[in-house]
Amino acid sequence: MWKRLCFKIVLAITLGHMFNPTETCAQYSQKNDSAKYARFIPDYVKLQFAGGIGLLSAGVGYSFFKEKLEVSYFYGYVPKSVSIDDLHSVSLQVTAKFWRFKVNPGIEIVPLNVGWFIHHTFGNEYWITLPSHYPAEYYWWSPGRNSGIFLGGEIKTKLLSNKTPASGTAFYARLGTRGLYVTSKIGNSSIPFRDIVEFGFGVAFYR
Amino acid sequence: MRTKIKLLILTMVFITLTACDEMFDYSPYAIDFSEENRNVNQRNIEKLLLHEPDDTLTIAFTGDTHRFFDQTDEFVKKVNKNPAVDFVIHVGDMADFGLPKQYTWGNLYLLKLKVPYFVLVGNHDLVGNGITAYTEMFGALNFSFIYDSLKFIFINTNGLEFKFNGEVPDVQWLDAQLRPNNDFLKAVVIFHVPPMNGDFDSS
Repeated sequence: MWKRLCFKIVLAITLGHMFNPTETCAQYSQKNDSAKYARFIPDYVKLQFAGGIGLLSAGVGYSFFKEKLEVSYFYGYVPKSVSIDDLHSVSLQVTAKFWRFKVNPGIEIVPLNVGWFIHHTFGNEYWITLPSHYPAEYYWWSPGRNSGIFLGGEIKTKLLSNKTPASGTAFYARLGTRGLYVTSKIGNSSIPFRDIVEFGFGVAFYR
Repeated sequence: MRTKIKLLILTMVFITLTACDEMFDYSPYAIDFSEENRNVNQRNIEKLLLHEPDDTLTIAFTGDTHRFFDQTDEFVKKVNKNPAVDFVIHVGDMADFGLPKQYTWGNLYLLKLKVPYFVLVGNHDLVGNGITAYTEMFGALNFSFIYDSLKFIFINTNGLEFKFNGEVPDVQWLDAQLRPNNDFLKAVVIFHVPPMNGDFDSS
């Protein structure tokens, strides 16, 4: 239920951001085409290693509330070299960045981000709704879509800002886990915490 | 300042590559088992056949351990204390969500068994890409061996997981397995879903 609610809130925020009523059609027409569409350009692109959403995953997203909230969409890939079958997946992430402080004009540290993600793996065996051949409520979880939480940190620099259109480059790391792992861990003191943690790091290029 | 950033990045990379090596997770469905987690049933058959039978055959039986890993651990400890046990049968549902990680956790404890063990496939083990994880870790879904003139036949009966396609259980394979010959006197058939259960393909 709360998942659905979260999704709706995200959707509302996204749509609200895209269609700002204060900006009228008249104002639009005065701008050239590139400016007109500029608002749709993602605020950042990310490239991530591991973190449970692919060996490598690429993401785009928008920042809201003075960069205090980020909504990102990732596509992740796991090649056959690290798994028997290659895997394709997408994930939606909502990250809250509560604290940030500037070390100097060029470097900003965003130390404690908290996030929620929902991860969908493609393939018939990774179903989302229970296939019809099963009796109702036969399995309570879905292998194709599961969600989790993560903690992360980020260092924002001005790297590449004078050579490319990017305003800066950030390096981040995250520690996450997902519902299915937490459920497996409950009541099992013999399973090390390390086993349910998904660690990942990446680089973000800000517009 | 630039050196500081570089040092910071290098430290981060160093920490991630050393301390957190095992934490890198690419997907809940990535299967990359270590050597001890592969071909488990066949290796245990070979181990059992090296063991000389005596006048009594004692089998420890478990199953449906789902995500009760601590209890699996206790079971293993108890079996290890009993010198009479010749081998262990796990009748399936070792991985509650069929996750490769749960396969690894389940086998982590079973690997501590002093005696050979055999794991049959259960319906839970087949969710997601569980069939690949099972095949990779334990081997064929249907398998058998003969020990002390007894034939043990492990057969996949999780018909519902295969949409009642008429091929699970493989009755032709079972028939061939049960055909009398000089190698065995009696046969024991082991299955996860019993024939009177709704998940069994009764057609």
